[in-house]
Amino acid sequence: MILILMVLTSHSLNLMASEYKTYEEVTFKSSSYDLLEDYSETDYELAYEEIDKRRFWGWRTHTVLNNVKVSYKKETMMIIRNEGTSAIEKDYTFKSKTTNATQLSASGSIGIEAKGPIQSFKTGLDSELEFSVDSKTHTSEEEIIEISIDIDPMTELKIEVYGEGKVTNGVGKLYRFFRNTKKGGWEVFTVTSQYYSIEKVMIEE
Amino acid sequence: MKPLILTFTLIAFFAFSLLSLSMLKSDPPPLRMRTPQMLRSIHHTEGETFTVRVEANTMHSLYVHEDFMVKHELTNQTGTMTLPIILKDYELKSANSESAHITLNYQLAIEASSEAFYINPAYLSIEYEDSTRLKLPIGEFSYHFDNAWGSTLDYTLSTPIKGDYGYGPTITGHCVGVKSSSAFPIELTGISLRSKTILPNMDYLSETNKSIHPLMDLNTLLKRPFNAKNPSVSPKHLSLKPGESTTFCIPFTYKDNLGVVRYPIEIAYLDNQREKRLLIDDFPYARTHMKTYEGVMKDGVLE
Repeated sequence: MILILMVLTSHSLNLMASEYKTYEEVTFKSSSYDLLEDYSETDYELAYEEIDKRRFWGWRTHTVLNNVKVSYKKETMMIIRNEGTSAIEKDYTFKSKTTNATQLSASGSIGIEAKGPIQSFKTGLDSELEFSVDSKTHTSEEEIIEISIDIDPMTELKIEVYGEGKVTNGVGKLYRFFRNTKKGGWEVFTVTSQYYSIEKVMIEE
Repeated sequence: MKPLILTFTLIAFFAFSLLSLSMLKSDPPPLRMRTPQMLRSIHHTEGETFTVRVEANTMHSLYVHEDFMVKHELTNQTGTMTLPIILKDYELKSANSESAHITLNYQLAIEASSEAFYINPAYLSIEYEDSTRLKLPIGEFSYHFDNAWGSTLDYTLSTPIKGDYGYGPTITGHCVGVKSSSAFPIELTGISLRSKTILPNMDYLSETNKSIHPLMDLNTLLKRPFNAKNPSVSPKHLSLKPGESTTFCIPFTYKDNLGVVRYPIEIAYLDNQREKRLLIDDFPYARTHMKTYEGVMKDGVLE
C-alpha cells in the first residue's frame, strides 16, 4: 500500500504584517546592533537620555538604528512528505503573494494601529518619524505557479526562505502639557528581498 | 498720462504672464508607462500565470484603467509573432501624486501541449477601446512544454544565489544537489535556464560540500571571482559514479541587463552514452521587487 502524506497541496509564500518577530534568525553584520526585542534596560536608559528635554506638546524621538541592513531566515516550510514505498509525481500549485513589505513593532506604551494591510504607530508618532512614507508603502500581488515535482519514497520536500531587509528603530516619549504620557521603543522592519531554496531530504525512521 | 499707460501695460503683461504660466502648469505631462526588463522562462503547466508590473506617471489616464483595455498579447518587435494571453488579475495603485503601479497577471491562452515559444525582446501589447495600442518591452520570454523527466538523475537541492550587478538585486548563480540512481557513470554536459541571454557558465562549474543558502557569496562558492559578462570558453563537465551524489554551483553569464526571479533548470547528461535530461520545473526563487520597482526599466509606446 502506498502511503502518501501531503501536508499541503497548495502553499502560499506569504509575507504577513509584523511576522518578522517569528523569523528563525535575524542577523546584523555587526554584533552591536539589536532588534527592539533584544534591547536591554541599559539600552533603553541610554536612548531615553537622548530625549530627556521636555516639550509642551508632541513627541520627542531618538533613532538608534537607521536603515541598517539585516539578513534573515524564516521557518522552513515542509511542503510534501512521501512516506510510501513508491515515488510520486504531481503538479502542485503555489500562490506567491506579497501583502506588506514594511512591518512595525513597538514596546512600552507606544501602540500600533492597522488600516487594512497598512500599519502605523498610534498618537501621531508615525508622522513624527522620517520613514513615515515608507511605512505606508504597500504592495499586493499574486502569482500562481504550477510546479511538477517528483518525490521518492520516504522523502520530504521542504522550502527554506531567506531574505534581506532594513531595520530602523529607536525610542520615543510623548508629552502633553510638559508631562510625559507615553514612552517606549519603536521599530520598522522593511523586507527588501526574499529567496526560496528547495530541498528534498530523506525522512528519518 | 504716460506713466499711467506704462503702469497698465506692465500690469497687463504681468497678468498675461501669470495666466500663461498657470495654463502651462495645468497641462498634464505626457503619459509614460514603463516596466523592468525581466527573463520570463516558463515550463508550461495548464493554468499557470505570470505577472507584468508597470509604472505609470499618472492614474488619471484612460490607458492605465482595466475597463479601457480590450485585448492583450505578447508579441515580437515587428508583430509577426503573437502569443495570446488572458488578463486574470489587474490592480492599480497610486504610489504618490506622480506615479501609479499597475500589476497585470496573465494566463497563457494556449494548450499545455503547444510548441515551444521564444521571443526576445518580447513586448506586451495592449489594445484599447479607441484602437490605440500600447507596445511595452518586457524583456525575454521563453515558454516550453515537455515531459522530458530524467529517470536516472534527481535533484536534492535547488537554491539560487543572490547578488547585485548594479541595476538592482538579481540572481547571479544557482546551486543544485543531484543524486544518481543509474547503474552506469553519469556525465553532466550542459545546464540551461531555457534562455538565450542568461546562460549558466560551465567554465565555473564548482562542486562544494558546504551547506548552501541563497545569501552566500557567489565568488566564495566558486572559489574565484566571477564577472557576469564572462563568456564560456572552456566548459567543464562533471562526472558521477553509479549511485553517487554531489552538489555543484554555477554562475550566470548575463548578455543583457535583465532581472530574473523565476526559471526552470534543465540539466543535460550522458548515461551510458545515452543523452538524457533532468528538468527542475520553473519556480519563483526570489521576490526582489517588493517595495520599489528596480532593475532596468524601459518605456512603452502608444501607437
